[in-house]
Amino acid sequence: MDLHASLWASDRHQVLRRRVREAGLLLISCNEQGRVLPSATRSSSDAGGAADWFEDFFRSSGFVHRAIKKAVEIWTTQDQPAPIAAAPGLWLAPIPLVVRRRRCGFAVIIAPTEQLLESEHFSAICRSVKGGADERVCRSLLAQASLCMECDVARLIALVTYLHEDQVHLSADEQAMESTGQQLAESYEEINLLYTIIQNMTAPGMQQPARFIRTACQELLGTLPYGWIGVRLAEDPERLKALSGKFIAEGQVPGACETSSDDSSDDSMRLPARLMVLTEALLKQLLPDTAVVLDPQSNPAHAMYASLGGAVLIQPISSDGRVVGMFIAGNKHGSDSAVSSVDMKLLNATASHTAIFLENAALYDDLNAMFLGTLEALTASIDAKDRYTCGHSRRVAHLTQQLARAVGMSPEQVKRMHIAGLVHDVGKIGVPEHVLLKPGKLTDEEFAWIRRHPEMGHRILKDIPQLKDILPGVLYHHERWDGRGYPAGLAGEDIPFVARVIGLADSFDAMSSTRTYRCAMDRKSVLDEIRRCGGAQFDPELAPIFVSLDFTEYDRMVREHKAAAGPLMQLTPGSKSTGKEAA
Amino acid sequence: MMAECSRRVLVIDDEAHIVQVLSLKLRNAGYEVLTASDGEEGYEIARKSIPDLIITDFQMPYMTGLELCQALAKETATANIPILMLTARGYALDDEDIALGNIRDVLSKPFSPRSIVQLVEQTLGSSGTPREKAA
Repeated sequence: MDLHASLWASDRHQVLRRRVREAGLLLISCNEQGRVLPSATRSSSDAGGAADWFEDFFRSSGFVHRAIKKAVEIWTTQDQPAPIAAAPGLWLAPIPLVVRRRRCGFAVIIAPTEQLLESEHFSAICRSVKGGADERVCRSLLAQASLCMECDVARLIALVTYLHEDQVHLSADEQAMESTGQQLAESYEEINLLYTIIQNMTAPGMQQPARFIRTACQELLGTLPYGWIGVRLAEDPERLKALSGKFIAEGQVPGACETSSDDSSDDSMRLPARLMVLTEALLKQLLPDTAVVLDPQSNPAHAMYASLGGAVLIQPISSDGRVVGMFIAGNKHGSDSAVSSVDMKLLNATASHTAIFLENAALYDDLNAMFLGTLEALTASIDAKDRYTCGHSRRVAHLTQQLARAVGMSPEQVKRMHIAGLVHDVGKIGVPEHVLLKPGKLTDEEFAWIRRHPEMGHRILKDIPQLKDILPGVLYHHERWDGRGYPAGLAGEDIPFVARVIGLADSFDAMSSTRTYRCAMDRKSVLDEIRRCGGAQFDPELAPIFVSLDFTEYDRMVREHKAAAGPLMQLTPGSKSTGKEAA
Repeated sequence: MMAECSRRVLVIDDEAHIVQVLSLKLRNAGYEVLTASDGEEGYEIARKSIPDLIITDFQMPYMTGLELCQALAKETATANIPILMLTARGYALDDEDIALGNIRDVLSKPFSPRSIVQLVEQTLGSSGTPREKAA
């Protein structure tokens, strides 16, 4: 259906056609060449009967068709097309049909007057009706119709013309409203996209940069008419850490598949190897802040990118003037498949936010690593005072987090437990070296020094707000389930959970290591001992869980720590002696 | 001082909402606004009413914004009308093309209607306009 026909078939014009017929006039549309266009199918609301006959009569008349054709020839030469009498009592009046300011035909007002019945042309019209029409019957039917008077024709035609013009204006306004509404809806989506992305830039998100990127892609895909949108990150482990070289996308990426990883935090997709190579090469060519459109179909220079599946929009993600990744949007659909400036602006804004996010996430990672590294250095320096306990803190931290995970704590809590395990012995810094390293039995006074280390550790750490939640682990890790521990003599569930967990890990490592006062016990004896002490020294529920842990990683750490301590041990020959170690 | 006469701005775009938004903002800012829905209509109106400034879209039926600017540049009456070009194209227009018409600035969609009004004020403030010169 051409524009003209669709204009004519619109509801608005159907209403006009019906109303005009009630006034004893007809509207017949034709194209610019004067060819009559088929009438739209009659709606049920049409009057039917006599009114239908009236329309069919003129519509099927070859005489009328020829008259319209001749009239159009004249009208197309006129600046202001004027009504023409096709025969005495048969007026044809033009209403130009205009689409996009181009005339595409006419709606012709057919105005038969009473004069037509007397006219000799009437028989000609009847004869020209397809299939023939009986002149007498037609004359009587037409006489019943409300034909207008010759003197009213000009006024009626003017009225219908105005009506039609109003209809056209109404239609145009309706279209403008619709397009404005549509645009408004799109603008809301765009604003919403930016809101969502800004909201996702909060601190908790920092720990899941892959999720941030995935959300950004999802939102973009919901707003822009593309088949897929993804982010390819550069191979830059130093800056991007785990994200380095990853591809994260939403939608149907040509040739890609989701990584079948058990790790739910991995949101990335696997691209076929050649696409990974292609996109990596592309990343190296991009200029920071300069978007590019790759169109393999229309630009031979881009032929090598055909495997990306048609035209793609590439927006670099740059930080400090370096390209660290890029957004790729492909398979644009909809009426206009060319990349628009709206697409580019939104992608550009999202890329800037992503760059800031990645930078913050890296800073957050660095801070975290620095924090942990500082704690490790601090505790390692304490461990180093006693050659026999080398690596003790890190091993206890490892076992603590392992047990925390085994009892179902959240990843965030497990991290805190790890830190608690790491610093549990920090108070030993306050124990005189001669006590700590004394080979042989300790005096009561010396043992009192040892018993003071949990409180000293507590005092050292208590002013660090970020460590508040782990202080109980430091203070109470030498309490016993039966209440015979120190410093407070707490029993059972009065001992904070974190302290009970560290107590188990601490004792396990002490028993498994060679001490100044005894040799290392073998694994089975250690586990038996722990099992045996459940309910006495240890939490009876935690002990059985602890003994069922996997100690492979622990054993690896022991070997590593031994190797690291080796040379030191050789420099200062060890000595044999008795109990300073906790358990 | 010359009495402040209402400045006339012609807005040409085939997207009705752009014409609506710009007309509204410009009328509120005290401008007389004429509108056209394609390059050809814009050309006719520009020649007939010699506006002080034209804001035109780039991609339009019958005559693109660029063709319009070049056509206006060829006639003495319209050659000096400053033009602001709007574009929804993903890529920048060629400088050579821009140089062929009296295009003062090119803005890509979406734009801030407020900043367009400011730009109109700036452009008109900095240059004598054909109508003023004639007055």
